[in-house]
Amino acid sequence: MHGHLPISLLHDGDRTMQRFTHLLAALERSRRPADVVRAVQTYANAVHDEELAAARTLLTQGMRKRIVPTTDLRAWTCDASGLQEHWIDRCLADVGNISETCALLIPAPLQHDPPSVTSVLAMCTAKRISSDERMVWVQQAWQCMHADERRVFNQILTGTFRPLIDAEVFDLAFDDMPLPVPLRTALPLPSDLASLGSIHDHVVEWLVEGSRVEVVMAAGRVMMWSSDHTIVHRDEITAHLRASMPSTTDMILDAMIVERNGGAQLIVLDLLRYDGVDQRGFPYTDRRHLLRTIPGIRCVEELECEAWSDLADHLAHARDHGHGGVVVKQREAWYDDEGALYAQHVAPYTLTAVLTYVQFLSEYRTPAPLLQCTFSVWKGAELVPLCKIDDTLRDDHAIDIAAWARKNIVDRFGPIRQVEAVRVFEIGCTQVAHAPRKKSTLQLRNAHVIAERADVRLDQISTIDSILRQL
Amino acid sequence: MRAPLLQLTEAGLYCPRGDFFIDPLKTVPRAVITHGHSDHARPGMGAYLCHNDSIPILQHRFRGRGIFDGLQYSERRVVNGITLSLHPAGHILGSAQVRLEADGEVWVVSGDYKRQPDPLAPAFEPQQCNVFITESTFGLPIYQWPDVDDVMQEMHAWWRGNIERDMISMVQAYPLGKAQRLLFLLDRSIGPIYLHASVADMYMALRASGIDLPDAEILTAATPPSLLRSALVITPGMTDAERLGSSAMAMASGWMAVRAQRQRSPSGVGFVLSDHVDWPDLHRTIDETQAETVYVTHGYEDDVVRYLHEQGRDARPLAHLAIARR
Repeated sequence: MHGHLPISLLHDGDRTMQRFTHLLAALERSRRPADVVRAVQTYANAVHDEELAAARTLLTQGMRKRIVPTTDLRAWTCDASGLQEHWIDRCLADVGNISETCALLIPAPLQHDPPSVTSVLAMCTAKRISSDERMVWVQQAWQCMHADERRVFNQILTGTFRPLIDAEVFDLAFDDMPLPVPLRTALPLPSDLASLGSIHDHVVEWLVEGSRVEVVMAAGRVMMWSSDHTIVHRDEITAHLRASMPSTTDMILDAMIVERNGGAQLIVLDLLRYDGVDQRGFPYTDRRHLLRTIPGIRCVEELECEAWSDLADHLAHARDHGHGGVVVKQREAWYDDEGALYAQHVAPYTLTAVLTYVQFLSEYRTPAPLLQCTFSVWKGAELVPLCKIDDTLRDDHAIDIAAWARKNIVDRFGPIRQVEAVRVFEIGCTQVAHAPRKKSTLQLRNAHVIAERADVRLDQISTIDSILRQL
Repeated sequence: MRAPLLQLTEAGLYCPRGDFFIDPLKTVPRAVITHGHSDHARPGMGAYLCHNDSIPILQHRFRGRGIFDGLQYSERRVVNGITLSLHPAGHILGSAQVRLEADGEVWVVSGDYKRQPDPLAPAFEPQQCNVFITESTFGLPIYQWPDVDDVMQEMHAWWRGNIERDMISMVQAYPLGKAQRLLFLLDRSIGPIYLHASVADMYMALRASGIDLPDAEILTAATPPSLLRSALVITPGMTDAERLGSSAMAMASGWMAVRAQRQRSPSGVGFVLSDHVDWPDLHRTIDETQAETVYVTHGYEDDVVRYLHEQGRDARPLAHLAIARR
């Protein structure tokens, strides 16, 4: 169908590659569903349907087919910029990826007239086209775009354009499904409990450990959102909810997915919307009362407390019940009321483990590398990976580890580097669960690095057995 | 062979015949200052010579301490047989290139400079010279500044979007230079512009010295967040962001041209607005000076030197001026 594409298809005058780049920038700034919906709607209002469909395909499926090999991309960039090829490698070291490096090296456009996303995709799927024709087309297109548009364009051509959002999220811009609302977070329980007032003005519940989700039910559909604004797909839970509630249900739940006995269970913490009405402004007692009338859901267990001193007792037994601590909620507070929700974790588990694998999350050597570190413990005479940690290492420590790791690589597995097993760290976590499918058979929750332990020898670090004994 | 007009010493660039330093790093009796940023103008020197517009900046930064002498652009001053003059560098208010001439030889120290227009800094004037000492903050070919109007359009769209989302816009920018440039560039019809305390401090000082700056509100601890609903706050850092409630942060800097640097900035949002030369302007400027020798400092020295060698030019990192002395 798209045999010989006329070059003129490039210049369709509505600058949609620019609009698409703006949409991408908005999505990179915020994945909050409300922001995504607004950005997609803005884009949809500015382009025609064909363009919208092309954008949807790219955003939800990405482009993994390589149309232009990077050797061509480099050669054409040298042509267009007049630079020798070693400059591309030099700049790549600072930029981090080849699509963007080439995009930045091309001189500024004489006339800004970016192609449409449709025409770019059409060129990618065009069958009967010679590589010379393609080269002319790419170089012409480069001359009409700004650097940011060229980067996106190059990513599409080199098959490195990754999907950004779920199709379900994209489509929210065009249906009536309620959007998730911000979930509140708990404050640490103050040491002076009396400062909170009377225990009788509060509800004490278990601190449920699991994955926090927001369950949105409307129009016969169920969507579950994680706290980082992505859709959670757990069919057994959504199927159960759909089966136990009428299709007219219009409701939002604050809940936790808990993995137990090989299955997943939904424990409901709060009710945010019911029968199409926002519940967040009503007192917790009312919300909780309403929750208990809803069939087919399981609510978090309430604990009996006659005095603040009873809290310590519950805390001491939290682990026996499979919970991570207790939470205290004000009875009469509305959902977003600051100071209405407190949580106390039981003391974290600690263990010592050795750094065995490192993955540099940025592709190349950049000023501040982001790392994902894998820590291992003994299982018999073998070191087995126990947990991966990246966030807490994002400081000077990470740079130290990165520099050290680069010099101590033992083996490579794709992007992962095995390093010499000599650096021992103390690791903390809030929960240890069984995970039969993992080599270590254990899954840590909220694992974080506490400190490097140069005083602990490799033969002294934790073993699977010693961790199990702690439970 | 005659001694070079300038040498690199521990205290910085030194003119032995004129017995003065340019942007010295240590305390010296006589300092010629290219501009008021703290990595070029340090307190404690015996006497300062700079452009007239830099004097209030230095006086404010050093709390009045120091002996300041000012020149107009192109005004000549003979110091021990060396003819010294300052020429527009286009970097910030009062920024200057230092031109030295003796026995028919001309050396020019660029200081920091840019070729894009700036409401407070007259346009850079290339000086023909034998030796040109250039900065290289953005001395890689990936740094090519987009059109300022396009950048401002993006920033305005972001600001409007934040208002829709009920978020205060906060733009991180240097209190001296970038902050004032933004004051001129921002579209006031969108909302009020507030200055964070340390930005306001420099703003008030410049105004007091007679510089004509656009009006702006000053952010204080007493400013109620409700007044800021559609505001854009110019701030040096992340300070106050939490107190003010829901806010969106962005950085205005040349480094924002690279996506990875944008993503690693505290806010993840960036606008490419720089007060330094980009790669094409750097080389255009070097060409225009017709310099026989180029010394490169302040950034990507090795990369710029390498490129200039590829173009058949005599170029060295500034550090070589220290070695040449022996």
